[in-house]
Amino acid sequence: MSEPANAIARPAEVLARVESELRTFWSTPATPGHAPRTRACTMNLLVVAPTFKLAADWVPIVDEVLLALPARGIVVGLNPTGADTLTASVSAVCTPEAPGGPSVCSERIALSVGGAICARASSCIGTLCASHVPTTLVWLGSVRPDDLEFARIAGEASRLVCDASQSSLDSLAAIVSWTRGRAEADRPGITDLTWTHLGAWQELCARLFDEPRLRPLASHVTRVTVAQASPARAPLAPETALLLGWLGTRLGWKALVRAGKMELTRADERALQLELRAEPALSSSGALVSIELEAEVDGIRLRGEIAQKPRNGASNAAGTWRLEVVEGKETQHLEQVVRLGDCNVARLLERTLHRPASDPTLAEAIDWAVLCAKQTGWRA
Amino acid sequence: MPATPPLVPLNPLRRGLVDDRTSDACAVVIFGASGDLTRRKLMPALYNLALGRLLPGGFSVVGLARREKTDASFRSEMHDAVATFSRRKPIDEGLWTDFARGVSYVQGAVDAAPTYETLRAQLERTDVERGTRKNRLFYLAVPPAEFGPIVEGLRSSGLVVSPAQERQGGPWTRVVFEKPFGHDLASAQALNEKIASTFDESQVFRIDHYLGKETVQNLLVFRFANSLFEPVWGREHVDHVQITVAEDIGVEGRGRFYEQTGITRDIVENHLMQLLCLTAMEPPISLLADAVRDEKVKVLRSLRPMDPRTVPMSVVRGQYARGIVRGEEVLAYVEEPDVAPDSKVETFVAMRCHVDNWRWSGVPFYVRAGKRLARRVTEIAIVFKEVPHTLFRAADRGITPNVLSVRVQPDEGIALRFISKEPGQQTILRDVAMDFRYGLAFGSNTPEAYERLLLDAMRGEATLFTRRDEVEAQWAYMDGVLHAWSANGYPPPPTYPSGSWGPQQADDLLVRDGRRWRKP
Repeated sequence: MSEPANAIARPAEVLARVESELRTFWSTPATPGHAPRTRACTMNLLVVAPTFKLAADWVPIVDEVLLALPARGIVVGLNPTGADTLTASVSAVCTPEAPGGPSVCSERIALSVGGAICARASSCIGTLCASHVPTTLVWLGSVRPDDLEFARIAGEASRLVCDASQSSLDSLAAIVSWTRGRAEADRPGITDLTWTHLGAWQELCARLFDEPRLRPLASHVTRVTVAQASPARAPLAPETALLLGWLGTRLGWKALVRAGKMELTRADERALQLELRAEPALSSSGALVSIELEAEVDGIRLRGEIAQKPRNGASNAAGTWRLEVVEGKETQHLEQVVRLGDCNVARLLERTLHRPASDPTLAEAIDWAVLCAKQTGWRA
Repeated sequence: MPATPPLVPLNPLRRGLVDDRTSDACAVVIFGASGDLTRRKLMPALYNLALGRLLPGGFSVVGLARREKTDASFRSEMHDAVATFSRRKPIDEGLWTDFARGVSYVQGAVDAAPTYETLRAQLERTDVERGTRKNRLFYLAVPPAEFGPIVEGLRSSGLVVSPAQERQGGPWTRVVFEKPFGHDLASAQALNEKIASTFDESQVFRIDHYLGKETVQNLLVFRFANSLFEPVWGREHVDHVQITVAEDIGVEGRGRFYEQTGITRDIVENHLMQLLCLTAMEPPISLLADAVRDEKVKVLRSLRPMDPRTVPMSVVRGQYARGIVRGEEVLAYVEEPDVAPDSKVETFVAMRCHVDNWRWSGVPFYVRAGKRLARRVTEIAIVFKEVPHTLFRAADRGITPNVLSVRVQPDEGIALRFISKEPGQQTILRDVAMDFRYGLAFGSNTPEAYERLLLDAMRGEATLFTRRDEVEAQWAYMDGVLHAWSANGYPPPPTYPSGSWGPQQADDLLVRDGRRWRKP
């Protein structure tokens, strides 16, 4: 819709121009013969990236989300070490006109903020947020403890969406800690794109123990094997750590180092074996490749596996869920082809936005995984 | 008092899980597997549940019908049905191949004992091969005449386990009945008696697919999760309520069925009554199935009974004649296949109902349902009272009242109409609307009603299904109308042109009260 507003202009002028362009867009009559444009806005979808390049990469992602979930999209690239700059461009993202129906449009603003103006980024963003709807902040950078820049921008959000796979567990932990420091009424919910993606894995792990006779086995896991796509000896990827964190918090596992060796213990303080495997041939993305759980109690033995199939370019990963139960002389096998969730970032974000604004189990899993990583120096 | 510990331990990995909507392992047995409902709705719904990882690890579908088919031919038919009718396309072939491995077919007549022996053997096989753990959901997608024989067949073949076994961690049996559930109060009661001889009420799921629609479920959220609306939801502020279920299609090859039911039994007795209940009910004490259904039953029992004296003044029926719908000339009802040329069956009903309770005293509920009307729309409109004193000079009709309309289909959403000043030097009043559309706010790929309802039945959640006393109360109310119509000398239904909003008498019904129908 517009070229970037002048880089050397004062922030107030740039913002005034953006506001003026937004007003003009909605006051302009639709082209004769075309259906009228309908503006829809359910939230401010604010994406903040630590570089201009990453922000630019996210513009089409936000546009795709806006087509499905009308909002005021604001994509901000920050470069505190660069020259003082504030540029902005405005665009409208519209659904194709249905026959006889209106075209539904969302507004998308792209901001590049550099140098000292970064300290005023939250003020600039606040000016551009629609006032009558909540703000969801997608924070793509790492957060340090006491990160003022993050705190200023996140302070206005009702919901935070992080991406553990692009940052780190420590960054997630810093965000959790920051939210805990806020008054309950002002505490935003936290969700995470990687956590959303793990939802499929969690559900399939839970499914292994759904049958009433198998439920006690959840407390008697004897071995866990997790594989991630990474070079050998790579650090534990956030996705793998979060899945282990989730299992650990649900099943009461503890991690400790004994004689220089890491051990996991169950809630009954019995040891359980953990094997972390790297699959260097697949990629170095750190993505979860498979998990196997073995358990045994009262003469019943269970072995469950969830494994991702090679993706072959498809964004929606297919996988296999397998369950083998041995009881006495009887062996039961179940196998299902399953979808392991969408890897397309836009659809993952859309799905995250449709989930509850906060998932307390995420914070618990982060705490557990961070503690274990610190104590044990986990490596795949 | 300490809580009684559950007999079966909970799965700790389900604690706090966001994506937690799967059921126990089970086999779904579809009676009427050759029918349209199976092809168009049930199998696409099951496939979409599989796609969303909402089906359990141990799962199978057994289709049962009279026609001869092999497992392979049934799977192939179902593949084509899913490819055509699934809301998500194209079909995921890898997932379908795996899903189809659990799909099988049993051929047999529902009134023949050997059918149930074959079914039992098939289910025992699926328990071993697919891990369905003896849990069965029987789905009766068959005409009501077959309900009785199927219930009897299931009972005598020992395919029904008691709910007591389930409470002790054993397998469960549930049964889903498609509408129409009876054709009058006596037949509904007889059917309920028959069912009760075999199933506990907690095992019975009477489906009304309207209750699975998102907007209908949202009605409870809208009313009871917002503090804004409930205080004005009653006789103090509401002038009247209009509920419309309009279709632009005719009977679409279902002439034989329609000749037996008419729109009163097809739509008014169930869908329309349910919409009325959800609009008029008091807040339930919880969202548990019985708490919600208790409140709906109270509404039904508060309906002022219809009798032969009141029906002519309160109910209008009609039958569609030739006309133009969506630019196409269409036939009259009596010209449809399998319809008697002198048929007196109604394809349109409009009624004035009164809910005689504290909240709604004196507020009429105008309900109407029709086929071949001007457009397809289902909506609930709450028409508020006019302002007590007019300060502004308004156009001919004065200041129009505020209207809150809940659009159930299509373009699901909620709109509030109010008056605003046109910008300018003069005070010119304009009707404007605040419009919330589901598709805009949440995307359009919402689950089909049958997905929600099938999964709820598998999970044993009965809130969105009708209870025995609810069905009987619906029939008790409608019986008053049906008896009046069946009396000798009662005039036949007037015709209305296809593509209109029904017969003139329907308009007169409201005009007599100084009101008029909305044209949604």
